[in-house]
Amino acid sequence: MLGAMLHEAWQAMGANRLRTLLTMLGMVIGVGAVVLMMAIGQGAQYAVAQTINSMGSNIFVVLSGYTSTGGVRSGGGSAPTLNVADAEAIAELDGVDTVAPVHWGSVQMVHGTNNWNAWVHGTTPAYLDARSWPLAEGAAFTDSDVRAATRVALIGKTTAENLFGEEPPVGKTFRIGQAPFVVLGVMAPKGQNLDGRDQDDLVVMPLTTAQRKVFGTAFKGSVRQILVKASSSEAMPALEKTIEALLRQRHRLREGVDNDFTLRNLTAVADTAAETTRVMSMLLGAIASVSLIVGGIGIMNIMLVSVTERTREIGIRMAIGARQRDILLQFLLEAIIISVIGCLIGLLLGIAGAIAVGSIAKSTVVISGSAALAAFGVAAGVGVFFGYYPAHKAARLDPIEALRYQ
Amino acid sequence: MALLTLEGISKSYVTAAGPFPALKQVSLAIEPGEFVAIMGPSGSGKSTFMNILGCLDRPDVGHYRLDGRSVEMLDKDALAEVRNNFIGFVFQGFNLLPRMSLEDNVALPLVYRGLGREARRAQAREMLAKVGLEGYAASLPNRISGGQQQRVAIARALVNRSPADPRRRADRQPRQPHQRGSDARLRGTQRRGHHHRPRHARGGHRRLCPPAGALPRRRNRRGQPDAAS
Ligand SMILES: Nc1ncnc2c1ncn2[C@@H]1O[C@H](COP(=O)(O)OP(=O)(O)OP(=O)(O)O)[C@@H](O)[C@H]1O
Ligand SMILES: [Mg+2]
Repeated sequence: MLGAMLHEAWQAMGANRLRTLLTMLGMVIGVGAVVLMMAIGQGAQYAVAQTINSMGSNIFVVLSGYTSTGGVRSGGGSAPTLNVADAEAIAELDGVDTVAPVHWGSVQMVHGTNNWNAWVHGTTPAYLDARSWPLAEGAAFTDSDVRAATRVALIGKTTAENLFGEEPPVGKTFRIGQAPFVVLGVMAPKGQNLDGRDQDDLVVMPLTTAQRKVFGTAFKGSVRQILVKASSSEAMPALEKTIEALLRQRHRLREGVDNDFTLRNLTAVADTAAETTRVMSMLLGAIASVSLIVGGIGIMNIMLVSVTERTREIGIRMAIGARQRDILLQFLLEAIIISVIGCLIGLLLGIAGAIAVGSIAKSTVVISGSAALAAFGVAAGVGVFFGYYPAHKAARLDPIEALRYQ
Repeated sequence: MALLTLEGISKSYVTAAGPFPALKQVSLAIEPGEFVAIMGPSGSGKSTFMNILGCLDRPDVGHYRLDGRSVEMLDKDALAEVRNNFIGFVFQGFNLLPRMSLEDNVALPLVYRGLGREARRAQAREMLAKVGLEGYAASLPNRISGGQQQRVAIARALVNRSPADPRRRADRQPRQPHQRGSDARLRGTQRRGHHHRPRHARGGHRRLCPPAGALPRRRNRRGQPDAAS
């Protein structure tokens, strides 16, 4: 029975080939758009997730400088308000896993004939741990390097490539000004951060070396930033309050005076970013779904025309014994076949489009099987949903009226 | 018991000029195995009557019992099953499906009976052979002559008889040519154990000849009018 009906549906579709193809095109475009948009949206989500992973988890950043509602206000030449002692005090708090004070600046590096500008982060060995940043080659500096302010450095992948080219950098020397620095290791690549900046263009060295031998700061022991890694994400809300209270107390800020530092919960920032991309990809999907619905309406429209055109045929079928459900099934099958074939083609085109976008725009696209499956299910659903009314209309025809239809 | 019993059947059509009575108080009984011809001038209501007889249309008033069942009580799907199992139509305009091969046309009632592909093919081909169209199984209805179309319509009307029926014999097939006026053939499948054989001699046929207008006068077997208006 079903076999015969499939065969008949196929024949009916073949009798009006151009019309069937045009109707299918609506589904093709709809499904193709959904698949493409989902691939782009999921790609964006994946990229953000990668970035968030690269930041390290459960991280606070305490920045030196005043806060206003708009963001951080920090005067260009003003003295950093944080110091190493602040970092040590925070390390004593409950719920703190690791603390790394950071002093930074931009420097000009020279190796042979190569010149390169990069950011220097002067910090302690805890820095790599706080940022969950493994080394690709070599070894990290140690606390004794920090105490002795030795001229050693770890470099990021981008910096390594630009300064050393093909040479293996570990054990090599570069200069900042006249002072030579030895490369102890190369950090594993992390890619871009949430602002789109390359995190691998970086030099990490002992805090004291940066303070005394690179930037020569006038304020002894001051740092621009303190990285705090909480022991767990649950501990973060409470910890945020205690760090703020501790720093206000240490900086002797009276009530009503603004903080002279900025405490940022990077996890919260990351969550916001993830949420933003999630909403964006949902929005893309929603817009694409509109075209899927338009495709569905196209199917409904054509099926209604087809039912009217074939009224007499329906009458004949009823006269020789077709029950209402037989007629219903016949027209429903046609709608489903059109939408399912349209969906398959749309799926292929959508995937091809996603791959093209991925390689042309060099952006991440993620084609997931579940998304494809969902698109397929939706298409079949669209076929049933929009095919049902015309099929129902056909099934409810009165046989004698249908036979008289001219 | 009669296979078909119709009592006081009336049917009016709604027209712009008001209701048009096409059938008035028609009563009729047909026994299993009978071969009945309904004759009358054009427009006298034969098709209207046959539509009711074939369970395609419902009368406005009157009772119709088919094989012991009250047709009034049946819903749309039950009527469809009755048409599928008991009734074969040869429409005035044949009503073949234009895009289907002759074989598929003849096999269509079997689709709705849920027969498998092979059984449908075999029966349809056998039926086509019986109406003398062996070589035409794959032809389309608009590629054959009018008479051949009529034969296909007859084959389709007769194909849905249960193959298990012992009374299904070649000699029950209609002989050509058919009266153009007969829209439907009723087949007594004699489910109740009647064993009448169809009478082929013309004299054995019952002919009902109502005058033009509203089938007012008909005769039953004993030659008496069984309805008057
Ligand atoms: N749908 C309809 N609406 C209005 N009047 C109708 C309709 N169908 C038939 N009639 C009228 O009812 C009467 C009976 O029609 P019917 O088709 O039963 O005639 P018939 O005996 O089959 O004629 P013919 O031999 O020409 O086929 C006719 O006068 C016709 O005009
Ligand atoms: Mg007629």
